Amino acid sequence: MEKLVAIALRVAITYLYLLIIVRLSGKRSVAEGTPFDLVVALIISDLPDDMIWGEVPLAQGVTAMATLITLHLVVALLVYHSPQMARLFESVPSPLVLNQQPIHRNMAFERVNDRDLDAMLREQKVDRRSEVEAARLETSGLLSARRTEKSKPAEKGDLPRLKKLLGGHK
Amino acid sequence: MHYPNSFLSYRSLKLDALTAGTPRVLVQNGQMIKEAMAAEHVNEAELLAMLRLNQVDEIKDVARGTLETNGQLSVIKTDEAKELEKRDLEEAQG
Repeated sequence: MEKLVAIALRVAITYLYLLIIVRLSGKRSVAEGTPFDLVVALIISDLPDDMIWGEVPLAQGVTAMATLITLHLVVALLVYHSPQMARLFESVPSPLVLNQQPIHRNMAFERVNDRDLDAMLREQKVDRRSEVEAARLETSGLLSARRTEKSKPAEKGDLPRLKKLLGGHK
Repeated sequence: MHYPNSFLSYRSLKLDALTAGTPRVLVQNGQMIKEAMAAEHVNEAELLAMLRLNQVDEIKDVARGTLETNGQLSVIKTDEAKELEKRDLEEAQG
């Protein structure tokens, strides 16, 4: 019975501590948008396990997590303040399509083949490469697609033009 | 532990802000808000990437860009840049 109470207490403490740690690490860590955000998520998901089952004294687990989050904050600050550090820790977006043409060199470097590229474009609701002015593989691993001027959706700002067009046909 | 947290967060906005954090506006009227970006450790390159992933080509088209508590940027476009709606066609017809 004592053992069960101890486990319940460990879970409660670990839960609250983890919540604090994740909140301190900031919103971007939750999104796992960059390599270093992902690394934190990977390590931190492994630590609580040992704390809960008592394989590691709580104090040691608490120290490990605090160290991890401190490192993470230092890297986040470096990346925020220095473009060189940003290059190092999160790399730079890689253009895969420019002016409707695929850039095979970058595709090979990022190991994205033609089928992958088309699939990623579809996820951005783009059907044809001819509609793409620029598509970049962002540091988060997602593809962003900028449409050509002609294939952009019409906006409210186009309304005067539309009115003029319609007026001309009356 | 999780159940009482999500239940209480639902009932209390204060607790929700404490455990989930609050959304923060990073772009307002086409302008980056540097202090907010610093607080979230989001640099300019990252913000522009987030906008690109939201199908926004020009920051001037953004009325409000909010970093939500899940780490995603949500974008509300300016009136000019909002997409045309069916009602606009009726209006254009006069």
